[in-house]
Amino acid sequence: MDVTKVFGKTLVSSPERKQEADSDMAIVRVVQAGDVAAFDQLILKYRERVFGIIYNMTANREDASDLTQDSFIKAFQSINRFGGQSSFFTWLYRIAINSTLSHLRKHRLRSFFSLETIDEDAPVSRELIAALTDKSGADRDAFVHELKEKLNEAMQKLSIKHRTVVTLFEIDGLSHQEIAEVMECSVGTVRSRLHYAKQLLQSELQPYMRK
Amino acid sequence: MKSNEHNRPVTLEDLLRLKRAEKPSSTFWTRFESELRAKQLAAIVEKNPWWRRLLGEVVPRHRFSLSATAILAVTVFVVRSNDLAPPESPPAKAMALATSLGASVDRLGAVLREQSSAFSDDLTVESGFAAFSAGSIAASAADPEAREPAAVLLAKEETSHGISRSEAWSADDELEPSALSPRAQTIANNLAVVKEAHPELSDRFFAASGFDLMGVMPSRQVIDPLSQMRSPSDINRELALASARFVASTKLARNSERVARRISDERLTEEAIRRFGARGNELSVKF
Repeated sequence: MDVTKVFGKTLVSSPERKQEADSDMAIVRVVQAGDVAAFDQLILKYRERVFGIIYNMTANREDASDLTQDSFIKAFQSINRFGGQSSFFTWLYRIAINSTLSHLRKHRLRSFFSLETIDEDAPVSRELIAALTDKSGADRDAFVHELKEKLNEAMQKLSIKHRTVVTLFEIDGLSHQEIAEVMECSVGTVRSRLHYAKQLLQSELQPYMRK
Repeated sequence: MKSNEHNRPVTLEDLLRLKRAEKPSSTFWTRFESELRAKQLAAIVEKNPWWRRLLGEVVPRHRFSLSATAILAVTVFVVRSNDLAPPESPPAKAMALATSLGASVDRLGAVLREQSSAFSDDLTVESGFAAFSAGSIAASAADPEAREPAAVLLAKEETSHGISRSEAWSADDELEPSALSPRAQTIANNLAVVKEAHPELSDRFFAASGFDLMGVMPSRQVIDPLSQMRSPSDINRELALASARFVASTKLARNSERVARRISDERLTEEAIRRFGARGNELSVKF
């Protein structure tokens, strides 16, 4: 059974994803019929996820914002060519990742990182931060800031392809199969890249892990 | 409970989950939406063509040479278009005038045809106004293929009938009836009749043109082309006289030139000395 983790939950992939893909496809058909405003529903649905992927790949908020917008514009412009061979979100992710890879190749040497605020109201992050430190107040904030910087640095040390696989699997929660579809490579390649990337990240983030 | 949280193991997946919790603020999404909306509108309204992208890359680099080339091209184009333009090409005003005249003349022609039973010289009127028929004028003005402009057409009609429009229309105001050609007189008479019968129509006719023909087209003296024609005998006589004059003048000139060439100044002086002799009381002259 194909299992996909999405935002900390474990979801059975097939029925929910299929239902999601069907509803997306219905909206796409409406847009293709000429109702341009219907595309807004797709933007609202996917903008945070697309932004999240691109932000974790570029580590720059402004670049991520521009690339997310460009991805939606590209999808909008070529939506008439989308025939439904894959699900809409796979197609949209492919556009976003290809745009990001192209951007990263062009600006390989640029490294202006910007940090987003961690949503500490989310139970996952609250528990984790509590597990990592027993400090409070300014010390705690400084620790969280340092941890975010270290995470970014460690991610940027990965190659573009390894970073993409880690982002899609660990942060966005796609399955190996979905990542393979998005990146247009085999599932084996995805697994091997993920394994290598995790090894590298573990060595980089060893001081923050506790057994 | 709290101590359990503090003692739980922290894995790499846990750390990466922190990245999942990194989210931008709501103000960011507001700005994002407005920017995306602008880009989306631009994408709908205008698709960027390839040549614009090319211009965007090439123009900033070669702007001086391109501007110089553009100026040169415009200059060449203007000079060439001035050279190629036909001298009698009609101005737009004349074209508009011709079109409006065509419509007005049509209406006037219809009125004249109604009045034709009252006038014996109907045929002259028909020929006079049919020449300015709206069909030909409007068609030539409207049809781009018919390159002969309406103004030229009107000029042709004018010359073929030996009258000018201004003369015909202003005949009763400005010119003596004796100064007009017979046809012009006929048309002027007809116009006068129409003016009397339908003054408002004739006023509208001249007003509809939107152009003061009387003011713009200067009236000139009419010369009947028939009176200007010469008979063949006159032409022959003139030719013979001209050739005789030419031959005579050239012969005289040639003779004097030859004599002048043959006798130089010194020789003339020498001969004069030899011919005149003086001895004692005698004076001799040799011939």
